[in-house]
Amino acid sequence: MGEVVTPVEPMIDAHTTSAPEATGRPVAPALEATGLVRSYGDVRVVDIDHLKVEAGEMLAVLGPNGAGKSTLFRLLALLESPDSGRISHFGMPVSHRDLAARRRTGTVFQRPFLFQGKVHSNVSYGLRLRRLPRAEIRERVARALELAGVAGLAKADVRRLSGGEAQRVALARALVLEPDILFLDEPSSNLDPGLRRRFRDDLRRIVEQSGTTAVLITHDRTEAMSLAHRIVLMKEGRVVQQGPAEEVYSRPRDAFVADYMGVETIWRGFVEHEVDGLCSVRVSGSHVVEALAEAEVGEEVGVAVRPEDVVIARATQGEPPATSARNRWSGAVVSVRVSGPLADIWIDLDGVLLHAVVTRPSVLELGIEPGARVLASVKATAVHLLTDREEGYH
Amino acid sequence: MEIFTQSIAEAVRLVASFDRYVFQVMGLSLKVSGSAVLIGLVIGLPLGVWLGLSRFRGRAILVALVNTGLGLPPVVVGLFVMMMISRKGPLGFLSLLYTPPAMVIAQVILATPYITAITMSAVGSIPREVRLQALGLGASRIQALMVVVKEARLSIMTAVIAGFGAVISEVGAVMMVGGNISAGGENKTRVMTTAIVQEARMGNFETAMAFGLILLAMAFAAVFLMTRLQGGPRSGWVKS
Amino acid sequence: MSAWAKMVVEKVLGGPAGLPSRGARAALRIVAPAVLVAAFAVVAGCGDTSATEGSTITTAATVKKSDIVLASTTSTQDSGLFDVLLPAFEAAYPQYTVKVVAAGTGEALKLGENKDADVLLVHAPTSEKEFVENGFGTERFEVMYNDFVIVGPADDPAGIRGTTDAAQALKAISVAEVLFVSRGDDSGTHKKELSLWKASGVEPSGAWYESAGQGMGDVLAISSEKQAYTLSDRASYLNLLEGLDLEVLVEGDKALFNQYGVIPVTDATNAAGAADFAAWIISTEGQTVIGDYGVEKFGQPLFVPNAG
Repeated sequence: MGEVVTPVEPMIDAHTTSAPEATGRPVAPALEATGLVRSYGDVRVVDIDHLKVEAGEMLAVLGPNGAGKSTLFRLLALLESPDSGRISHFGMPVSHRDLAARRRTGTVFQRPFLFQGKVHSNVSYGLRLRRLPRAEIRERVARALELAGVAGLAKADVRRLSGGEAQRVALARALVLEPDILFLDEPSSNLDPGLRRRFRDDLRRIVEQSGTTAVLITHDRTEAMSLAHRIVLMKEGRVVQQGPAEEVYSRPRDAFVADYMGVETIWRGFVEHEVDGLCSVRVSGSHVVEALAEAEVGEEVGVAVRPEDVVIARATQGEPPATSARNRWSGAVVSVRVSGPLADIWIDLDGVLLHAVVTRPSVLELGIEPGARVLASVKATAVHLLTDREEGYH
Repeated sequence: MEIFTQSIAEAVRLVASFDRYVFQVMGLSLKVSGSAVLIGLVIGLPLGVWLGLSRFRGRAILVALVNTGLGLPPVVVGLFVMMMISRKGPLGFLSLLYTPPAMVIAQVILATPYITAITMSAVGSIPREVRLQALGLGASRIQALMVVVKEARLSIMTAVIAGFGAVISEVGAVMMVGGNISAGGENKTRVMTTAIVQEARMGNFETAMAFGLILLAMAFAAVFLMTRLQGGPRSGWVKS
Repeated sequence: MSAWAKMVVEKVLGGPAGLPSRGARAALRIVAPAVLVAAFAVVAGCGDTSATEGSTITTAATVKKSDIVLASTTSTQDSGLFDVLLPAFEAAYPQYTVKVVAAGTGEALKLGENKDADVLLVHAPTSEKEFVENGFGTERFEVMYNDFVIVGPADDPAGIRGTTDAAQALKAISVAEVLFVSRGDDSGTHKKELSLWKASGVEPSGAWYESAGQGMGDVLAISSEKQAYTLSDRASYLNLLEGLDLEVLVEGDKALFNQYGVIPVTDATNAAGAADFAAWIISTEGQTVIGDYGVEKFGQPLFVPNAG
């Protein structure tokens, strides 16, 4: 089988051996996968041309259920072997048979899966596998528990832990290994919503402070946005878009990405004019949208407007003041839904529905209520055009 | 009703006075059934773990076979083993018939399906992510398997208890291949169950009943001990 | 399959240290059908070690039939006599169905004592007389006799072949310390064996003297397997001869005489049937059936009727 239980040696510090200052060579990405394919029966569950994570980065693998995220997780974490493809950690090719490589990583699953017994024996499990001396184990376990925010629980029986405590112990169990790469599979989705944010904030702080490379699987775009540097969006086993989080968020490549990243308003139209990159798109009837994008006249496009980019003003008598916003639409408020500090507002623009998000105080101050006539402004730079794809529009 | 109180009194008297005959017979019962369960564990535990965790074509047939084994009539097993090891049978040269090893063999056949089936079910109930989690913390394949087995250990103990219960109380197999033989003050192949049948055949119903009570008490004590070894109340991993 | 074991499995599975519920359900799916089948089997009326044998089921529904429970010994049953005797009786008395319970002599007598049987047919004269004296039986009638033989391995390591004195033969066996299997169950055969030992002046004990506590058929099987000596009634031996590797080594001694008696039980459930059976078996008709048994198959009668 090729598995060898190796006694622990000091972990090879991949960073220093390939530090650019020392050798002048570029630093290899912490994790890189090429041509990764995995099928179950006839179905190709994962089919990825290329994916990489830089050292010290957190990558979020995002996508709906069934997109293949969990399988990808297992492949990258070396828990399962792909049908074909190559994976490398810090430039060195690795496989699921590579126990030494696996021992330089740590995993946290969606549910804690703590082993029967005490918290201490759970957190020390990985260290005991690596045959570390007892004193060192004790010390590292204490540190890890503190880091994860469950310092006093070392002697507790796992059955007595609450859901949040258990998940933190699971996190400590992985952190204590001081892994080169940390793999997390939906670590907070099983927590109560109240606990989720705290967990996320702590996780971000821990990962940033330690500079660990991390791969996070999630279906929640908010989690991805708040934690990750890079996002890979998956659909049906393939990568639909990958890049820095901001980019995927504000420049979705197609309707699916836009929808997944939370753009609700997507209209369909065609480009009427185009001058110097400024396009006029006619969306059904009398509605025209101006957008800054590269498109050809006559091209059919999708128009995406982020709710947060919509500025609302009470309709006034006479001419509204000139602003730099190229798009100024008037319409009537259809519905208002306040939730927490924000409010969702739907506006009817002559048959076309626009979704806007503003702060609650603004709703109150402006007196925005169903039936009110308003002026919605959106800058041309904030409008995003989507080119036509097979999947069609939302 | 009197026969019941008399039987209880007789049972207490036999045990309290360390009656040599009864203790010899009890001892052999424990030795034979205990050995059978231990051997059954050696066979059934790995088999149950393998069947519980693996997926392959034809697994369903093997699983069905194991489950059918739970319903083997002891007397049929005894008959089969007897035919194999009698002097006229294929294994006759071993001269095993009417010896304790023959009884152990028959009881191994009876106990192993219990141990296998329950282990299989117990191990299969552990979420597969537990094994993956162990791998993800740096376990080798074998170490990860051991984690799964450890997590299921309480249920596996149940398998042992079930197997033991099945064989300590059976009479068909040990009668067929053992012969209920006692010789010159030394017990050879007489166990509690066959001794009970003999006493009943001889018309000594009270003694037979007393033996029966002692057998029950002995089995209860053994099972109780094993249950205590299992440890405390409900086990399980924590799901958040 | 032991219902007790199933109960343990279910109880422990469902108990405090049981499987997680999915596993428990899976195990119960295995166990529950088995429990149902076992319950059905029990209800269907089988699974008892001392099953009732030899009952003739006739379909004639014109006469309301009553049962006669006949307690006899395993030796008698192993001889095959009932296979001819009972049909003949039931032909003569169509209103009866005879149910034979073949047990050890001790148990048979106990069954009579408890009135669980209506009539006894055993071969332990002393015990029988005691039975009647104690009032458990109405009267004892002599029915037939056969003889015992000492059988053993063909190579006869104790050198007893042809000895006319049975007790001396046993003594020789004890001296040679060759394997001897005893009934060990207080049966008529066992009592006969013990009386022979007494006559020989030897108290048999040691690793060579094995006690099986079972019926004649089982003891013969054990003796054959182990190539040991044993005392058997001729009828059982002849009936099972084909499967045995044993030969008759000692016979003819008057001490090997084996007398059978029939006793109707006092106040039996079917007292009329018991009385009729006893009367028939000592009648000319019954005696003829007995005398004919075995002639065709073995060339000699297995029992000698002596009710006269």
